[in-house]
Amino acid sequence: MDKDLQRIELKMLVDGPDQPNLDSLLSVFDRWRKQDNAPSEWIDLADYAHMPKGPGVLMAGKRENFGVNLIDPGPGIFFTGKKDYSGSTADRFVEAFRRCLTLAGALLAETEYPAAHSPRTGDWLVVVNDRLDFPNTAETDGEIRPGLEAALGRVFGEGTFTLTRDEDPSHRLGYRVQAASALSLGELASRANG
Amino acid sequence: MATATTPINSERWAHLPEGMRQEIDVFETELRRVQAGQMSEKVFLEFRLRHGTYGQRQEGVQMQRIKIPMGMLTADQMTKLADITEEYAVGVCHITTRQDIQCHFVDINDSPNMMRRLAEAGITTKEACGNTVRNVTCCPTAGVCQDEAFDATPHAWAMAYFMLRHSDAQNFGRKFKISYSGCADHACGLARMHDIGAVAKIQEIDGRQVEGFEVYVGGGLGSLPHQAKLYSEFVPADEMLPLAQSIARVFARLGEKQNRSKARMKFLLAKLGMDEFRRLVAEERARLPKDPAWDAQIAKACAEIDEQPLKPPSAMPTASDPELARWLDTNVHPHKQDGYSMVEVFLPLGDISSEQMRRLADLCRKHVKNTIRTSVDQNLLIRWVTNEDLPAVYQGLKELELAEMGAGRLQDITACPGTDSCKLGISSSRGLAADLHKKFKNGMSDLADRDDLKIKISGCFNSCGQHHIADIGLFGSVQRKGQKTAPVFQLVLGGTTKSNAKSYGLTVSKVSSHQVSDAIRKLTTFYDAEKKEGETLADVVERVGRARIRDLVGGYSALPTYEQAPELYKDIRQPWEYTKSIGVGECAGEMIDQAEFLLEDADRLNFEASLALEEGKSGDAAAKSFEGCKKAADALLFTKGLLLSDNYDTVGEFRKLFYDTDVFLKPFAENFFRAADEGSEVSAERARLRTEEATLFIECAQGVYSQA
Repeated sequence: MDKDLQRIELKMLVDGPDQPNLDSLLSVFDRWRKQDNAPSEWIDLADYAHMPKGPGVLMAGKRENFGVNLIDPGPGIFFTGKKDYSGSTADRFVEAFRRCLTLAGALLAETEYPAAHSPRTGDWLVVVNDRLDFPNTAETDGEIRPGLEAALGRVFGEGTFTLTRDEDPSHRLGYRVQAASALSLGELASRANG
Repeated sequence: MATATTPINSERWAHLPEGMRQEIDVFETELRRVQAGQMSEKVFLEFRLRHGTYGQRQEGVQMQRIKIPMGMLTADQMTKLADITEEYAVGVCHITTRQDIQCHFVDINDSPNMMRRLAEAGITTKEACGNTVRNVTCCPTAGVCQDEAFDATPHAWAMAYFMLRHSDAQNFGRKFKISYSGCADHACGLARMHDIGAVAKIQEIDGRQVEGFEVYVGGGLGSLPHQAKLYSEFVPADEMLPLAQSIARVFARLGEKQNRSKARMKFLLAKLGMDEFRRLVAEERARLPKDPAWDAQIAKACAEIDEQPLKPPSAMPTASDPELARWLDTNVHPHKQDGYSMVEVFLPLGDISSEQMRRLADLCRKHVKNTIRTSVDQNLLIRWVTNEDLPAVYQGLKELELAEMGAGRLQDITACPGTDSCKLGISSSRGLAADLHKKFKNGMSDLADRDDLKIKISGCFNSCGQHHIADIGLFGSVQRKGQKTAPVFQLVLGGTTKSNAKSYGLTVSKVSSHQVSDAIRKLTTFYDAEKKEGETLADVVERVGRARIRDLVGGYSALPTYEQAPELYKDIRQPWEYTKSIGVGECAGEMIDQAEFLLEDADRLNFEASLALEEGKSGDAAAKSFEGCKKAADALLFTKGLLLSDNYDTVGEFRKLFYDTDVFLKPFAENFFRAADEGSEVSAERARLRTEEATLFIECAQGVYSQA
């Protein structure tokens, strides 16, 4: 594939009510934005908690955005990667998972993280946030899928997940990943790092 | 990574309208040049502002403002906006108080492709910011309003596209804002707070009913609001474009350019007085060469704007569902055309997510034919909904979480971006608006649906939230107690949006961010107790006097110490200690003379000529290098008072004013004249020589300009 896959978005769905109170994340992200030399190159936090089905509360960074959003199919911890991916398609997806899981682990370790919203570590959305170079078509799916499946095999385990593409052409190229049995966040992170 | 010499992938975008494609290519070229240190940062700043790319409070990211003339949107445009905000921003479209769309946290390297994709849908970001004619606004109900004199839409459209990129509007010292209203009484157009405010009117002339406008000039909010003054009781519609062009010329020529805080046209008008201003405008009008675009733009607008319903008219349904009944009451407004209604989509804080926007576009496709508008109240208005469809539309909006009731009521608060993203923000206008929105659902729900009061909030005194024209206006401020500072809001009362914003409020008292809701409760109770028949809050304030109002709310300005109430030293929805942090706003950045822009264009064109040479395109290289020299010559001619819209002969005038007078180095000038005679069909060797000659010519022009 000769296109440069950089904009990889991941979302790990969480349990709990559809409209969680995200206010406690403001303190968390206030601390995060003061971190020196964070790999994510944080810019600032952004508060969209007033929007039902909106972007929630997030950290905007030069390398990625990260936070908790309320966008369908439900609330979840999301990661929007922007740059610094290299290697094969599979390598890039694995790297995105590695970065996302690192941040998710850090977020979940924060005392202010709302306990009611425990992560569903086996229920993910994977989106290529780039309609220009990766339109949501069968052809692009054919280009991406092998690498994505290989990456998911590394993170979740071979043959342990289903991968369903969102065929709505108005949506970005995206997939629902559902693992047969959920590994813990730590186990997933370890596999992504491995 | 792209560099200054990486060719732009124009092939991919060959389907765009040529002019827009080239314009965006130029933007990308200049972006790369400034990143490579080949262009002045100062010039690039104004250049990017003129493409709607505006530096945020946070370093390294931009706000992209997207012009939506008259707030008119098609469903396809909504889908495109959804896509680009999802991919390049944070997944939110924000509707502004001037009917634009903004998105935040954009990487400037994404801006060119954002602009190209918007151009695919016929949307431009050009002149959305900067010292230019900004978005032309218009009543969102124009064309379907029961009270309008006539549909102002085609006239506003003609104005918007006539003034866009107009050469007479490139040398302003500050921004310039134009609005159109369909009638005098309602708030929609806010004519009296614009540089040019046009209010539709019909006058009988020689037995004919002639469409025209009552024209106001020199209005503006900002830190020092000015009411626009009546320029003319009646300007025929076909005279509006030349009038605007004449006013633009006067403003460009005589407006303040050094002192940014005094550079709006309102200050020029105050200095000259209306009589002298009219005289100068009439003088410009008299010498304007006839421009076929004056008539052509209006004709084009009338031909292209032909709003039609998707479905036939129908009767209003009866609403047995109390929620539907309430929604019909607050969010649905009657059309002047029987059988149809307008649906107002209430967007708290003016925000709609990308996915909501996309699915709303789908909903609109089912019920209307591209008749959607943004409003200055930061909502969306869907026009031409056949009445029997209203329950289905309501249901569709509910599924999208877009059926919030109370559009246009007290709970529908206007707020600028404030400290969330603006360099000038002092207090969190959006935090306050979000907090009040929540309280209007719980704790203040008895006030939520009031339709006699409006709240508008700005993050600072510059009034982007239009606090001066609100019944209850608030702007961000700071109060110090000991070594600590607290975020507060100045309460501004006495303003109104009615009658096209006929009066502005004045400050009454400071209120802590956390006590604004209490102050609002107190004010509404007072208003209800004191008002006489038909009085607005402004009327009551004027009648009872500000001293009494100050007694009412003055207690809120007494700030406890930090030790007594540390929570007051944090801004709303910000659990960290407040610090005032403002930067230099780009809205009032340094004024860049049109000559500087032209010289920058000259450099760029000559650079592109050298790229063409590398690609073996001699004809292109010769043409571009000559064009570069022409731009440099125009820059110098500008310093002599020649205006591009005078359509002068550049080579001839340059010869007369700079060659014959020995101001310009003769050998370099003679190269220019020879190139004019040669044309662009030259050999490769000659093309190369021409590029070098152009470099020398442009350098010499820079030297002459530096001493002008």
